[in-house]
Amino acid sequence: MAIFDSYESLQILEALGETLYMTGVSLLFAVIIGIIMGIILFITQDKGLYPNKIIHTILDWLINILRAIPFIILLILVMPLAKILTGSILGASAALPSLILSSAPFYARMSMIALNEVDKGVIEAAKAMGANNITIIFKFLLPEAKSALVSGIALMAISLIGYTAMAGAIGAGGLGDLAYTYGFTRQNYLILYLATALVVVIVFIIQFIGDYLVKRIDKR
Amino acid sequence: MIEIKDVSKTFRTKEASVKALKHCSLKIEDGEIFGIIGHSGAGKSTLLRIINQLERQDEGEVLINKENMANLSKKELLEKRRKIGMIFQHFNLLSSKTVYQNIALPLKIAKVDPKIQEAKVKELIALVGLNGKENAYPAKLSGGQKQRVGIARALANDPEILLCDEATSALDPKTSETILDLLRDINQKLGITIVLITHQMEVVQKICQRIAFMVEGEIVETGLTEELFAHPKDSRTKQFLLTSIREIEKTSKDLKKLYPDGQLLRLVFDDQNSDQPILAKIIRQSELPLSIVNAHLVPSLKGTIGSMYVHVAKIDDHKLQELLSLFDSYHVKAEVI
Ligand SMILES: Nc1ncnc2c1ncn2[C@@H]1O[C@H](COP(=O)(O)OP(=O)(O)OP(=O)(O)O)[C@@H](O)[C@H]1O
Ligand SMILES: [Mg+2]
Repeated sequence: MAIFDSYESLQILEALGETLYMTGVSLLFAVIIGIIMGIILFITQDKGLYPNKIIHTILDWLINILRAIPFIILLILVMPLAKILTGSILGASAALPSLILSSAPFYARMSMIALNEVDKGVIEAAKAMGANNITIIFKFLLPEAKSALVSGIALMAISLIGYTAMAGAIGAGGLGDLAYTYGFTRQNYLILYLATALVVVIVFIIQFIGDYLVKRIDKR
Repeated sequence: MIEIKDVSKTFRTKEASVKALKHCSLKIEDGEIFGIIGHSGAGKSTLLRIINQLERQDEGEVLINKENMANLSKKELLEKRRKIGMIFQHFNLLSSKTVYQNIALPLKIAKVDPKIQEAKVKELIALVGLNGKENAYPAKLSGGQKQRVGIARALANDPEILLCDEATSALDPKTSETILDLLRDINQKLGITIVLITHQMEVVQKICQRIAFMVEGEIVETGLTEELFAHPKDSRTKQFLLTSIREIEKTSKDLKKLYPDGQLLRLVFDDQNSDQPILAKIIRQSELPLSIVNAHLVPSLKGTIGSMYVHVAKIDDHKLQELLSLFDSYHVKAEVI
């Protein structure tokens, strides 16, 4: 990177690392929390495996509300929580609670849709085989929904990259932050373009991996 | 033995309540192939699902080998279901699993020793004739092959009963035949009781010893297959069998257009006469060149039954009467169309 001095090169690498860190960690948590919420939504729905109107309605509303709040506002609202959890309102870790809070409901909704798309006949066959509900979820529903769940992860990872860039604006670091503070405020356009290009490349790689995995998993 | 005693079931939805079963009683003996027929919505699937308690009755009792299904705990019921296999119209296989994995699934659920699992799956694959397809995914199989996987899967835990919900309805007639042959084989080899529901009359004619006929949630008639087809007692059963009569009318009309000259006869073979070379004998005796123009024959348990249409060049009334009485002497019902 001869066109950048060593300080700038370090900044770029650091920003890249921060973006990957924020995306990776929040993705991991969002998928775990989201899939659990998605399963609960799925089983508590009318005619589900454990129908429960109250739990279903509460969770449904919570998800809708969280998804309705624009990310940038969620970021500000969650700041106090971030301070309690990470001791700071700045830095990559401080952005995690809001990143997770915004994407977990997104994944919850997606996994519920994925589970609902599994052929009802498969559940019928499972019951006829004498499978209990836990077995039905883990041995029948999740494997059958796997390709939709994986494509949902790729979709969410990509949207998370966008959110991390926004989080950068309030000092979370990462490529968005770099593009803004160095590229835009200090008019270092080379850095602006490079940061943008890196984001685009990451998105492409995720999309590629996602498509590849889905294609391998999907046997329909 | 499966005993269904005075079972009723009503489905209640926001809009309406449907009486799917009204005081149904039925006794199915061990080793029998029992058919349940009726129009769409008659309650056939509901009755079948009552047997393995996928659907709970509102009233009445279901006993399997004298054991009341209502007295089983949740866990016992799950275990009981492992001894009742079920196959479906749309196969209901897991698309994400191979043939082998699909068949192994019930064994995994029953926590069978992995070594025994492997031997069992191999045995089942051979039984249903899917050798070489172990690692194929369902999407790569034909309908008939998918149903074979379904059958193998249903047999994994050595059930005493096999429930078939429209198992051949999604298959073409030829494939249907092979699946029915397989079911009959299994019934004979393994002695499994088979309960099958269908709206295809060929299916029950082909493999069922006894049938029950359902109308709007009621079992209106039960009896030996031949008996019920030959002498339906209930007017609604007769009505149902009329559908096949309507088909006859259509065939007759079509044939008349094709053969405007000469005589067309419709012959009915029941299983008393179908194993003799009757047609050959009649042609020889009457010295008339009869040609077969259409036939609907199905092999039943005792022989081939069904109808056949024959055409003969223009003959006078006297000859025609002679021909008809000739058929009569062989107990073949013949009518001029
Ligand atoms: N889960 C359900 N909820 C509400 N109504 C139902 C339910 N299952 C079945 N029914 C109704 O009960 C009646 C009998 O249905 P069933 O599926 O047993 O009929 P069937 O004889 O199997 O018909 P088909 O030949 O179309 O499969 C129908 O009117 C159907 O609409
Ligand atoms: Mg049905």
